[in-house]
Amino acid sequence: MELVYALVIGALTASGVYLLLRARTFPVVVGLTLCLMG
Amino acid sequence: MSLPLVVFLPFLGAIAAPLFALGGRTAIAIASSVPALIALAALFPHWETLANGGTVLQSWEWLPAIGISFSFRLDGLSLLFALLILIIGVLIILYARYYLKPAENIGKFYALLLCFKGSMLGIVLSSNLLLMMIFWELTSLTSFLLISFWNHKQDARRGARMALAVTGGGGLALLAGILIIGNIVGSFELDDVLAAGDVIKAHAMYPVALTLVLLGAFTKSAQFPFHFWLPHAMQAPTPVSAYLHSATMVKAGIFLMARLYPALAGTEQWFYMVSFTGMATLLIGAYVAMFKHDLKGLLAHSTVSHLGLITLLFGMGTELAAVAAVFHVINHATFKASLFMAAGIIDHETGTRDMRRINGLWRYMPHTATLAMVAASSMAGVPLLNGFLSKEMFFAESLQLNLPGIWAWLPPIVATLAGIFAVAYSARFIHDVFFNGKPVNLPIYPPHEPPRYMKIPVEILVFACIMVGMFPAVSVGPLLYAAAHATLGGEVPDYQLAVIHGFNLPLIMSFAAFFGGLIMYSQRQKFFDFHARFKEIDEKAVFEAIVLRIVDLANGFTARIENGSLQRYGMLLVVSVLAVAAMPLLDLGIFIGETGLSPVDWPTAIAAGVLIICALLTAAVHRQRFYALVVLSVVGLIVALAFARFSAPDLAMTQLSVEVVTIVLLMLALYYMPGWTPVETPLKRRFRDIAIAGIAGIGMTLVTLAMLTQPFSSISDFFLENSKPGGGGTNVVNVILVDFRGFDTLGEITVLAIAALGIYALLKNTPLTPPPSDGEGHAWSRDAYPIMLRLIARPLLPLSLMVSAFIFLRGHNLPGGGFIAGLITSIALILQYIASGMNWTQDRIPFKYHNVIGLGLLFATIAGAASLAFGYPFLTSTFGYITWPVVGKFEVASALVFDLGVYLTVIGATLLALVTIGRISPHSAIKSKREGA
Repeated sequence: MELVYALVIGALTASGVYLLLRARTFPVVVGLTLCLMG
Repeated sequence: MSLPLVVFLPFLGAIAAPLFALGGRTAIAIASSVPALIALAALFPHWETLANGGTVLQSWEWLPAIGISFSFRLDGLSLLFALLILIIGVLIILYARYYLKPAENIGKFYALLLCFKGSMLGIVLSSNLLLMMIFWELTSLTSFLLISFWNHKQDARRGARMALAVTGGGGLALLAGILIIGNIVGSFELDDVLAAGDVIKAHAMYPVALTLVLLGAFTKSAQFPFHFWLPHAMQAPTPVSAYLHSATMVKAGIFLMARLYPALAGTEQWFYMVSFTGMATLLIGAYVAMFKHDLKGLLAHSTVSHLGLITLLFGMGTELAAVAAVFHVINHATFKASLFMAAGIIDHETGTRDMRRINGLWRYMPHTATLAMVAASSMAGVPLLNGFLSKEMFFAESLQLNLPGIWAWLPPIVATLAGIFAVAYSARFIHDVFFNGKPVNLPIYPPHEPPRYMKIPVEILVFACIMVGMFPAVSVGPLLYAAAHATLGGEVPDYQLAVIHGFNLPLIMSFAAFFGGLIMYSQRQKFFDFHARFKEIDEKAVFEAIVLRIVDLANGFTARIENGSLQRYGMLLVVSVLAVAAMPLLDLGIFIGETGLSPVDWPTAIAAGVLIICALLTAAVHRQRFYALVVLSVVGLIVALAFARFSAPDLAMTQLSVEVVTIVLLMLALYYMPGWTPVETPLKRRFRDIAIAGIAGIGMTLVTLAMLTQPFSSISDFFLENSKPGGGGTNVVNVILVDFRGFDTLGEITVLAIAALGIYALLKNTPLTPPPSDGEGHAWSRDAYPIMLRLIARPLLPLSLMVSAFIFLRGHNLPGGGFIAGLITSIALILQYIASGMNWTQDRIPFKYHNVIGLGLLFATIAGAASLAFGYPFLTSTFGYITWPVVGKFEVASALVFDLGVYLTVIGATLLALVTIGRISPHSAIKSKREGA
């Protein structure tokens, strides 16, 4: 269970950080949302 | 009390003196002299103690934790300097009264002069090294302001900047040096430091400390290679040059060496650093002085040279040399200050300082000429004048140095050579200015004697030169003894103050210097021709170029890091977070903890799988913004479910409602924006970003895993225990929000309100035309407000309002509360906007969302402040039970009012933001008007 939980957080963070590093505002906002959920 | 009085009176005078400026120049000059006269009177009673080598200490505690105390110390050395500062200061005030033109801002001038005087007295009277450091920097600052007194002149501004940069930079070095010394000794008090001389010299940090302290002293006292600022400081009005840049401030570095002599001197490093620096300065200053056509330029370089001489004497390390150094401080101050004043008079009366034009002034101003000639002779070292005595002592000491082999010849040769130059430039000062034909093309012609009182300060100083020169033992003997005693920190060697010590080697050196100098002056044309072959360096230009270069470098460096790309800043931020987090985590060792893993059930695993896929998909399809949003909403939904699954109903409800609001907000924004993101970053950079994101994700996974599998107790136990007895509610999350961490919540809702108002303010007058299609060729749906949605949405409103009221009221004990209830209400209203259009809905809402926000904040603050009325701290909550018919026993907590504030603020902020974004398009307003009608 802990592993699943950790993987979920990892996936959310990774996707969020990738989008955070984009050049446009929209993906950055989406990325922030993902990071927050992570 | 008398010592701080001496230091601070000038500062008080600086405030008071300008008030007298209206009364005329004489009034302000008299007012400015008062602090010095009182100070002299205050110092007089201490003479008895000091004459026998005693010290006076007066100290108060200031910041004991960092070693600063308000302590002052008067001994022979500080008395000598204080007298120079005070007496020459009064003479300068008198002189400046005639020097400055009526149109000039005399109030500012005297105020600055008094500030300087106070700072300089602070340096010499401080007993605490850190306190002294403060005054040290103050003299740099006041010197800067005084050099740039004529701030309309570019040269003055440049000279001032240069002086500040050099002396200020040296000040930093000195501060570092003092801190090291304080660290070694364990105290910044002068008595402790002087007593710990052997400890300091034996310490491993001694070379560093000495170098830093000497850097401070050398920059301040214009020693080679930092001497270049002093000649350029001559852009200051002449009283300033006479006072700061020959008599007092430039001697601060010398004073420092004398002050710390028992603590730092006597080592090889001291000997080599100080004596060779002094020797170089002595020679270079004297050589360059000869070629200066500017009267003040000549005197400035001569000052540099004499400062070098004093430094060299301190560097020699013998006790007699130290006595000679102290003696020369007095002598140089008297003859050089009077020479500067004479130069100022000549400048004042002829309008120029160029010695090629000023000639034959003897005929026009014989009185001034006599005074200047006596002072210049003293500078040259002519017998029966004070300059001769200390120079003889210097020559004698230069013969005593125990340098190996042929090096033993160096000091006497340098001394004689510098003596020759000194005689040559003194001869030039006398002959070129007062004789040597007729004046050439003077701006003011014919020159005549200055006002009577302008000469009095010069007369007094020249009289002192003669008195000391002829009757040294009577006139200056006791003071010199006291000062030497204090400098050496004990025994004073036998020395004799006599006019002539008999026919010996130093006397021969004096004669050689005298006649050599005269011969050199008579052959000056050859030297001038020789010197003209070298290109003259303008230090100011070099300095400015260096400063410019450094500024350019700094700008370039900044531009490289801060290139304006937000994307890049984001990357740097993320990378730094990773780096900062990685270091302690790597040390800690990330592993699966001792509690191990628990088994997983299938539904959870499947949901987690979907979530992970959707999260990665969001990133993968982010170019198609609409799809990304759809996938994102799936992620949000599953996260909400996850909260419910892991027993966090409050969070689940919040997440669910926040998710709805977020998606609606993003959809609204997407209406005005392109539906896709173009490819802009090169492939390489995208791989780099993927790598960064991957590291962040893996890092988070490992940290989470490690944290979840450790047995740990957190603060949550406290909350669980105290929620009911302390906050009156069983819903811990809500009690935390409104009670335990109520102040946090108040701050958060304030931020929320500010954000909403910010969105409103930004978009208020921004008309945006929405694109005619979605950008991919599809026209917008004609059916803007589908009838089905409309019909379902309207009856839903009262129902959902009821739900939110229920959630709100039960919040203290069961999942819910103001925050969630606010979001639910917001969503219910948003649904109306979506279903029936902006204007239709807005017409039916009888209040402005701004007011709702305001009301919410008011409720929350009042609920918090109410406890103040009962004498409890801000935001203390209370609760009680009342029995309500039908419902039964009912709990009422004062936190409910606070929660109401949260509720209202959330509604106001959410809707204000959304409605503002929804309304920015004029098109939609018209359209919805038609639809609504």
